[in-house]
Amino acid sequence: MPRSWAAPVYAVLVALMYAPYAVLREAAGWSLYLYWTIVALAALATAWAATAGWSKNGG
Amino acid sequence: MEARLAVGLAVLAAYLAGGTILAIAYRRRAGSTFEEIAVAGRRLGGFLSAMTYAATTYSSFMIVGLVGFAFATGVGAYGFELVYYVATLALLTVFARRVWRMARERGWTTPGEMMADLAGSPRLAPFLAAVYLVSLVPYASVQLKGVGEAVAGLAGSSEFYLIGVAIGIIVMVVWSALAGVWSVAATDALQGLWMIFSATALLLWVYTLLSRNGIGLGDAGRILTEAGLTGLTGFWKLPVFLAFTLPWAFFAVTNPQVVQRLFMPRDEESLSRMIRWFAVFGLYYTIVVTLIGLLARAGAEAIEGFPVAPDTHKDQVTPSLLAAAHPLLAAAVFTSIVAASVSTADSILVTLATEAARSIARGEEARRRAYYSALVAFAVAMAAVAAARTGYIVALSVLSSVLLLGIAPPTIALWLGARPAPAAVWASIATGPIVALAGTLAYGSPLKAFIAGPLGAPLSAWILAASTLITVAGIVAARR
Repeated sequence: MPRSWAAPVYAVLVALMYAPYAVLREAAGWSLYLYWTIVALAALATAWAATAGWSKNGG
Repeated sequence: MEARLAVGLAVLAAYLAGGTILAIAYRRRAGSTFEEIAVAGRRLGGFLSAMTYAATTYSSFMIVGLVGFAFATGVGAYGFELVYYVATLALLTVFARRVWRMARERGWTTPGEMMADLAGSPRLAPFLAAVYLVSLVPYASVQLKGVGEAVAGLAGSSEFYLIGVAIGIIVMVVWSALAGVWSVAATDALQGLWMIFSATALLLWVYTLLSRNGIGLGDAGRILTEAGLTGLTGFWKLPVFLAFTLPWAFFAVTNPQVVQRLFMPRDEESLSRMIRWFAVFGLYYTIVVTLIGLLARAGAEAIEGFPVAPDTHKDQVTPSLLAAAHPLLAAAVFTSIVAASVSTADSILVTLATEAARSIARGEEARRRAYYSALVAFAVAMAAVAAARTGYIVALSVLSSVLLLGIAPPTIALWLGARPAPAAVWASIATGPIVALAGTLAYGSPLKAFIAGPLGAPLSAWILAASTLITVAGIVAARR
């Protein structure tokens, strides 16, 4: 089993992608768009953090 | 109109010439072995790895389909595309390093070979090659259809459709044959950059149209709210959202043309760069494309004489915008449609041809010959399906992601080191085509079955549930 701290983080982020069906169904303006953008930015930041230090030696 | 056509074709010709020069240049860098053709000899740098992953993933669906989807159905389309994005980053971040290492240790050149090796079932490779072929030829044909329709739209005549398909297929075959995945990856880099810049220019132009009429982002938000497009109460009910997002969430695991790209980076640093820059490209491109659709809808609702009307068919939104844009902008975006289509379709073509070559030929020389034969054969098949121009192609391409979904549970299980019994792996993979066919027969059309199957759950949910249960049963059985 790959030991990755990112796995549970992404599980939460994927769940957050579906969360608007509970709380933002009648969103107005750009609120839902902004919400999803923030979740996606968190996913991007997690990817950058998780892949830091992958070395040149693995080749 | 003629000037617009001339400018469009001139820009396209310049782009294709540039891509061909790049493909020829990479022929010198590439070796001629099967490993070089299939996985770039496992020597791809970080930038090329990232651009080919991004350009392969993001097809002309983005600048044409997703723009139209956002225009017609609202912000839910953005969420749908971002589920793919977040899920793909999750899969890459958690599994890519392990898969990359195993591919190097075990010498995998294709995803079929990977699955057969991990499952301990050599005949799984040709079986998977056949499943990939059935699932992906229609999807690649839709890309060619996009090229045909882009050329026909630019020329203002449907007689140019076949010329467009011909241009697309010739470019695909030439670029794929010159240096296999090396030339595909190099041209993908050019295509990816072109896609980003032209989409940004189109967005800026659409925004300018709104701001000239006194409509800012806040006003656009209010207009879209009044049109019922900023929440999830319209088209994007939860079963629909699930139907669209479930297959795409596992795209990075089920689609062989992207799995094969995990084998290509030359070292872990390049693999890291692939994931990071794909992440930046993907989010930026998704934001730009969906904003084009949403702002265009706001303009259509509020501005008289706007290039599109609120009831413009979603597939006609981008073509209508291009018809009103400056000829150079229209030419740049039109070329990016061709670029996005070709970059997706030629990646699929190389993957299908390498899978077939590996399945039917033994030995280096025989495999290389089989690769070139398969390349031409599959390209002809794709062109024939695209030339037929039937609406059924679109339904089949929607189903392609569903057809492959049964591959996800056994793949993830095998990557995690669990060894389901080979029979369970075969059965899981077969679940997709069997359930999709049964659904189509029961509900009368692939699209109806796609959205709502038994008990209101989408077909993809049933396939995922069934293949997961089969995989788990296979793991339990193998441990006894």
